[in-house]
Amino acid sequence: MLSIFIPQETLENIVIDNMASSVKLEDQDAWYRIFIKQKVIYVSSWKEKEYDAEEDPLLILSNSYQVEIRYDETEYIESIHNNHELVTKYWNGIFLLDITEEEADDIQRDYGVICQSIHHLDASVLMDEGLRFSPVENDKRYSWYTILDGINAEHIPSNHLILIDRYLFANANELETTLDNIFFIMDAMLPLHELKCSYKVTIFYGEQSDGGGVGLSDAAAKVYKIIDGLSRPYTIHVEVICLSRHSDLYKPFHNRKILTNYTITQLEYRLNAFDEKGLSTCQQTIQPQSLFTKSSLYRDIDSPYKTHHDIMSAIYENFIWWVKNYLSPKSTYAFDGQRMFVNKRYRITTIHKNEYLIDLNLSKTIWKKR
Amino acid sequence: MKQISFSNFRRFEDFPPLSLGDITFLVGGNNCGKSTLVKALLLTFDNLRHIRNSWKDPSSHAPKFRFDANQIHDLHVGTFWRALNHHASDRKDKTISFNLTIGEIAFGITIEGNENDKDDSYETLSPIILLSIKDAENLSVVFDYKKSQAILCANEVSQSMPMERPSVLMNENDIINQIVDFAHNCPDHKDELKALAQKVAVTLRNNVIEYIYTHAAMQKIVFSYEDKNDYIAAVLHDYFEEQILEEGDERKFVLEWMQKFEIGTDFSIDCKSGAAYYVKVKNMAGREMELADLGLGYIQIMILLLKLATFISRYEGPSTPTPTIVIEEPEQNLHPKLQSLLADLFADIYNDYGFRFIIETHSEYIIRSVQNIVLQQSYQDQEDLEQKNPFKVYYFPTTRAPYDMGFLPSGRFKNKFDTGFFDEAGRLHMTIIKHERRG
Repeated sequence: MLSIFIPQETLENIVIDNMASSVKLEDQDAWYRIFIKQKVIYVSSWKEKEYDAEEDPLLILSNSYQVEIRYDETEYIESIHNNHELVTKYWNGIFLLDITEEEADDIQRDYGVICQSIHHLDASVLMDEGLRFSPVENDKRYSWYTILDGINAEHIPSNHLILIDRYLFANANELETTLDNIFFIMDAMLPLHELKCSYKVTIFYGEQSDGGGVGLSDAAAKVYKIIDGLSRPYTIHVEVICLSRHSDLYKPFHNRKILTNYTITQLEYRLNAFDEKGLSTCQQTIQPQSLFTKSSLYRDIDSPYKTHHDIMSAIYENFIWWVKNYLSPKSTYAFDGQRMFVNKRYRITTIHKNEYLIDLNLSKTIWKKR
Repeated sequence: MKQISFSNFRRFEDFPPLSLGDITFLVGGNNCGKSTLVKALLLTFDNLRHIRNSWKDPSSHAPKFRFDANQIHDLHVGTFWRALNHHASDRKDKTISFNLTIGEIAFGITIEGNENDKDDSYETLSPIILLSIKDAENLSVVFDYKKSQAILCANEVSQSMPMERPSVLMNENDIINQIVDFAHNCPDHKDELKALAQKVAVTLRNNVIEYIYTHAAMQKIVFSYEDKNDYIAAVLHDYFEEQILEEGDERKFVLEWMQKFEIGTDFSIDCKSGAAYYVKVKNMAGREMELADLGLGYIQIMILLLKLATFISRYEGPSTPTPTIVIEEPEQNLHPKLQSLLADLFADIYNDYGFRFIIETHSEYIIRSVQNIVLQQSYQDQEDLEQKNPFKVYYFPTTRAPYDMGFLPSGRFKNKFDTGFFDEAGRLHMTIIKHERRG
């Protein structure tokens, strides 16, 4: 689930050069392969088209790959040059703009989203075969820093980190270890340089069937406290969501994952992967990946992107359900260490499809203190 | 029929549960497993209804699974050895399992291999080693024919007991009788088991599968029923035998759709000596002509319409079972415009008669037409669509398990087809555009 923004002419040229049946699969451009996996591409265009519909490359692309080409964000796309902050509207945005390479690099660095000049396109930032780490119990070869090194925000931009582990706070006796692991994951992943926007961390965990584990208020307050230790030159916001056993997300969120805007790390067993001495707590496989691998992009096999997409869709679907049925919430929520409640006035109309509950724009958040 | 899964059958080591819609389309390249699913469904259903002991081995405790099918022919599986997944044939585990949920009842059958039928032997029956039956309330019985014991699981507690020898020849009643026999040995669950037996009886009685396989459309004047390989003659014979009246709804159905497909406005079937059939059609210009003088596509459609009219007649009325009609590549010989109309035809029959369909197709036009039908329903939101939309489209990729394409209220799919289906025409056209613009 990406939101790609690109000038019409650039997209047309890429489509014409790559979609023709005379172009071999292995010769197709990686961006083109990414485009055809999208549901929507936002195109900027003011010009009237000069050819018939049946000759329109973008219409042919749309028919062939069920990609909706939308022109309604033209003004938005063209305003970014004068107001870089606009890129934070879409947390999953990919901005391929008619600007200089230097300006694109600045936007990418300042706001943690992928931004490239159309004069220098390179999809390699989204493509990585990824490494697979297999620590055994009491293993001291690895840490969160070594494992996440290839996908951290210095390599692949991000402005949002999501941690998912149903059993993350299941054991109150392990709270310190849990907080250590969360701290080290954040420290390994978050950008070291200055950002011109805030960074958001969202943590999903599940309530325990026996009513045990750490409560939301306690968990949220303690996680929020550890942020100071990160010493980052920008604001970090933290959301913690405790999923009820009746939540639709409870079951799919059984598997542990670390997500950012453009990466996914899958863990076999537990997010509390290391103890206070830095030794691995269990034998498991940990696989950090960017959204696409060459094999998934060029051969029709499942990609990390699909898993990333499925999780984000599940969050979105559940979120909508939750808001619709706010009077009997199936999960509880905390923001920056404080438990929050859904405000009746901020119902579904305020939610943009691409913003989820993890919208960077705080003025648009649906959550309000009671 | 709600759901099917199987393992070690033909190309699939493990085919995950696939939920069937009211009108389900199976789409994918050649040799990707669409027919395997259909064969698994037909074989499982056929054997559940006609489970039997081997006449060669009357002393055996286990009922037998028939790979050449009892009622539904033309499946071309034949023997256990041909049915077994090739990877499985190298392993110790030489069993094939099928799970089929019909209505509220989930059936499971596990069949053991017989290596002797490897060399074109005539042995088409393989012993069933496990037969499980589970209802919606999670009451389940498992007949373990290898251990000669039956296991009951109710309220998450299981108990087992020795099994009675089944009758020599089994049919659907014998599955039911086995449950009833078991009920006598389980006084604590006697009533629940009897209720389960009743539900199984009703489920097997109320469901039926009809199979329309690909066949050649022949431009013949006379269709002889004595020619057992003549599919068209068999269809005409069945239609004739139904004694459909001149003013009957079934005939009106054929006439209505003949006009929609622009085949003609009237037709007649003459039978000579009860063995040969002549079909005449009045074309759109009002000229009467032999069926043989129509194009192959029109013959194909006429035969499909007559077959469907026969089913409408056969399954009319409240006490008849509701059929699931399995159709293999109905688009054969058809112009794209007529391929699109097929989607409307299936939707209309589903709406008017409640028939369910499973359709194997390579037709982009049928699928795009289905998307349009979904759009025209103006579903309020995704929830509304999930509740009311009768269509499901499954894509069978070459290297992965099939997946549900999933509809959106806009008619678009949630998921994407692999390359080579929806994009083929576009890619060819783009080659011309590229040449024109780039030289």
